[in-house]
Amino acid sequence: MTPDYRQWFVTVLTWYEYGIIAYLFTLSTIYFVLLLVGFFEMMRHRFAYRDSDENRVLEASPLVPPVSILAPAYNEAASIRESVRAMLGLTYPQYEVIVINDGSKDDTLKLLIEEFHLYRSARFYDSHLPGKPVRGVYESMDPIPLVVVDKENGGKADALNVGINVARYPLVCAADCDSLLESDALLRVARPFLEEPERMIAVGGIVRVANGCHVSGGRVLKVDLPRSWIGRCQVVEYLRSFLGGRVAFSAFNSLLIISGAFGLFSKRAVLAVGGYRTDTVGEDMELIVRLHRWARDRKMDYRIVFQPDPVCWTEVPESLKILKRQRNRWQRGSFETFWIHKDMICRPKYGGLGLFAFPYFILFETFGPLVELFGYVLTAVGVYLKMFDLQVVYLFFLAAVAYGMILSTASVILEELSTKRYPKVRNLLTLIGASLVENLGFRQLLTFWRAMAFVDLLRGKKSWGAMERQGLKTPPPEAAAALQAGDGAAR
Amino acid sequence: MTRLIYSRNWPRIAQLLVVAILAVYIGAVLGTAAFLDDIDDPFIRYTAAFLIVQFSFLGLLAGLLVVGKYLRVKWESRQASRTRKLEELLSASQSDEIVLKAARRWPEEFLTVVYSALQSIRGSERRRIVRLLEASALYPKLLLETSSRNPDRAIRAIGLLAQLDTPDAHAAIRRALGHPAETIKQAARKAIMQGKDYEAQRQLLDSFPQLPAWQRLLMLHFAPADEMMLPRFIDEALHSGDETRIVIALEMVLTRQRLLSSPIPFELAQSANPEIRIKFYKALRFLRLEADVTKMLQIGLADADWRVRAMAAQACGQFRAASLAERLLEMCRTFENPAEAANAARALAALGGEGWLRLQEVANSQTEVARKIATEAVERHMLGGAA
Repeated sequence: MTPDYRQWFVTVLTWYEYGIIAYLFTLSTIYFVLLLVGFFEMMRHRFAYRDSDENRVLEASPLVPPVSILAPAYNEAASIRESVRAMLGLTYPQYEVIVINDGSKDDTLKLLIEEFHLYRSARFYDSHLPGKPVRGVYESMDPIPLVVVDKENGGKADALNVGINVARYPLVCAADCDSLLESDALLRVARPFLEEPERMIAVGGIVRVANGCHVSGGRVLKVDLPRSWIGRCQVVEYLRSFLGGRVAFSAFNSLLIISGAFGLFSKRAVLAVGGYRTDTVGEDMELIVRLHRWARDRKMDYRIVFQPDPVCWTEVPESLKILKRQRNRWQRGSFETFWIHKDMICRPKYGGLGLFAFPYFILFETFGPLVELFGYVLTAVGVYLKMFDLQVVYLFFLAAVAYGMILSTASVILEELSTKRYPKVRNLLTLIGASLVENLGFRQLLTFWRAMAFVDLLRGKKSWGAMERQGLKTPPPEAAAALQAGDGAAR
Repeated sequence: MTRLIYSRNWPRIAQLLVVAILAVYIGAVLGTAAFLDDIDDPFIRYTAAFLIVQFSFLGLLAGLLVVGKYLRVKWESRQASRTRKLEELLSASQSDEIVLKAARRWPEEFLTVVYSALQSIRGSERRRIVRLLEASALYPKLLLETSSRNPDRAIRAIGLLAQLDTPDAHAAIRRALGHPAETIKQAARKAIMQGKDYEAQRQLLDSFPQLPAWQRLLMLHFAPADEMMLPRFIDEALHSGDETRIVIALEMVLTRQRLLSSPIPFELAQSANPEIRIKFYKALRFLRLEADVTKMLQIGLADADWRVRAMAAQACGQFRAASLAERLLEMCRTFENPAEAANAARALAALGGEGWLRLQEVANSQTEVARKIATEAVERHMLGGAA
C-alpha cells in the first residue's frame, strides 16, 4: 500500500471508529435516560401501590374481571404437576388454568390426567383463531378450575391461540409452564385493568431470575443469586431490561415487548388482531407491536403497560450452549418483528412508538450487535496493522466496556433503590461485581451470538431450539417449612 | 422526595427532574473536559470527561448504597429485637408505666406493635392497648400527623387512629380527606368506612359517584355491612334515577351478596343504560322486586343486548323459572353469542323436569354449535357443576 493510500485508509478507519464510539455513547446515554425515567416511575409506583389490604379486598371481589391463564406445555413431564399446582394456588377471585399440551412426546398429558383426575370434557369452544387440531379437552372431576387441551404440536404461538379459543374469560394471561408466579402476581398484574378498564389492552409483569432461589411447591421461598457468574450476569441483564427499559417505555405508552413468560391481555383485543403469529419465533413481541398498530390505526385511546411488581420467576440457562440458542432466537424474533412492521418506522401516525421506540430498537437493539462486533474486529485489525493511534483504541475500549459497566451498575442501583428484592448486603455486592464482570467477555460473547443470529436469519432458520432446564434449588422439607413459616420470605 | 412523589404534578416533576439531572450531568462533563485540556483531540477529551463523570457518580452512589444497605440491615435487626421486647411487655401484662416508658424510648417500634396488636386483638386486652396509646405522648402527635406533609407518617397515623373510636381520632381522620395526596385520601376513606364515624360514612357514601371505579370497588368492601345506612343508601340510589348512583348501588349489592330488604323499581330492567341492565340481572337474586320475577326475566330474555339476555338466562336458572323453558330453549338454538346460549342451556339444566329433557333433545340435535353447547351443559349438570 502506498503511503497516500495508507493515510487515506487510516483516516477512514479512524473516522469509522469514532462513529462507532459515538454510536455506543448515544446508546449508553439513551439507556441512562431510560434508567432515570424508570427510576422515577418506580418510585411513583412504589408509593401508589402501598396498601397491602387492597389485594385482600380485590381477592374477594366479584367485580374483578375473571382471568384465563394459558400455559403451553411441551415435554414438561418433569415439572408439570408442580407447576399446575402452583398456578391453581394463585390468589385471584375467579380464574381458570388452561394447560395446552402441545403434542408432548413424553408423559405430560398422562401425568396431568392422573394427578388432577381429568375426564374428557364436552367443553364447547369457538375456533376464532386458527390452530393445529385439538385431540381432546379435559377437565377435572375435582372442584378445581383446570382445563387441559391436548393438541397436535404446532409451537408455542399455536398453543396459545388454541388456549385463547378455549378461554372463557375476558382477560387472558400468557404464562410459561416452567415459570413460577408469586401468589398475588395475577392480582397485581390485573390492577391496571381495574383502574382503566376501557383503555387497557395488555399488561406485562416483571420476570426475575429464579436460579439460586429456594423453591418449594412452585413458590420462591427465599430470594438469592445464582451460583454461576453466567446466571448472575443474566440477573443484571434482566434488571437493566425490565427496570430501566420497560418501565420507561411503558411510561410513554411505547412498550414493545411483554415477556411471553407473563403477560395479561384483553381477550377481545387479541382476537381482534388475530391472535399470535405462528410464523415468527418472536411471537410475544410481534403481538404487542400488532396490538399497538391496531389501536393506533383506529385512533383508540389505549394503554399497554408494564407493572414492575407482579413477579414471575424463571430459570435462566446457565450453560453457554443453551444461552446461545436462547439469544439467537430472541435476536431473530425481534428482527422478524421489525421486518413485519417496517412500515411503522418513523411514521408520526404511530406517535412515540414510530418516532422513537421503533427506531431505537432497530438501531440499537437489533443492529447493535453487528455494529459493536464490527467495531471490535476493526480495532483488532487496526491495532495489528499499526494503523490506529493507541488513544483511539483505549477510547473504544472505554466506550464499549467501561460504559457498559456503568449502566449495569446503574440498573443494580435502581433495583436497590426501588424494589429491594435481594435481602443481603452480600447480594448487592455480588450484583455490583456481576455488572462489572458482565462487560468483560460475557456481553461481548452475547454480542457475537446475536450478530450470528443474522446469519441464521438469512439462512431461513425458524426453529426455537430446545431449552433444557437444570431445575431449581429445592430446600429439604424441614427447611422449606421453616421458610414458609417466615411469612412470604420472598417478598 | 416522598412529598414530591405524592404530588398531583408528579409526572411533570419527574420529567423536569430527568431534564435537570441530564443538565447537571452535561454541566459536569463540560466542567471535567475543561480540566482535561491537555488532551488535544476534543473528541477524546469529551469522551474521557463523560466517562469520568459517570464513573464518579455511580461509584459514589454504589458505595453509599452498600453502606446504606449494611446500616439498614443492622437497624432492621435491632428494630426487630426492640419490637419483640415491646410485644413481650404488652403480652406479659406489665404495668402501664413500664410499657409507656418503653414507648417513650422506642416510639416507632411502639406504634408498629400497637398497630399490629389492634388488628388482631379483641376484648379487654384491646381496650388496654388503646388506653396505653391514648395515654402515651405519641397520641397527640398522631392526631396531628394525619395531615402531615410526610405521606408515610400520615398513612401510619390514619391506620392507627382508625383502630380507635374517639371523637379526636374521627376528626383527625376527616381532616385527612382534604389531604392533597390521593393515597392519603384513600387511606382516610378506608379508615372512615371501617370505623364508627357514621356521619362521615354517610358523606363518603354520597361522594362515591365521584370516585374512580376501581377505588369505589375497594371502598365497597370496606362498607359496614351490618349498619342500616348502607341498605338505605342502596335503596335511595336505586330510586334516584341517577345512572351512576344506580350502577354503584348494584355493585354494592353484588359485593355484599345479601338480599336487599326493600323493593326496587322494575324500570331498571328497561333502563337505557346497558350496564345497569346487565348488573340488574346479575344481581337479581339479591333484589326484592316490585313486580313479578317472571315478568322481569321475560323482559331480560327479550333484551336487544345479548349480554343482558345472557344474564337474564342465568337468573332464570337461579329462580327456577320453569315457565320460561321454551324461550330458553329457543335461545339455545338461536343466539348472537355462544355465552348467551351457554347460560340458557345451564338454566335449562338447573330447571330440571321438562327443561332438562328438552335440553337433552338439543344435545342430540343436528345443529352443530347448539348441540355442543347443550352437551356441555348436560355433562356439567350430571357431574354436579353449578348452574
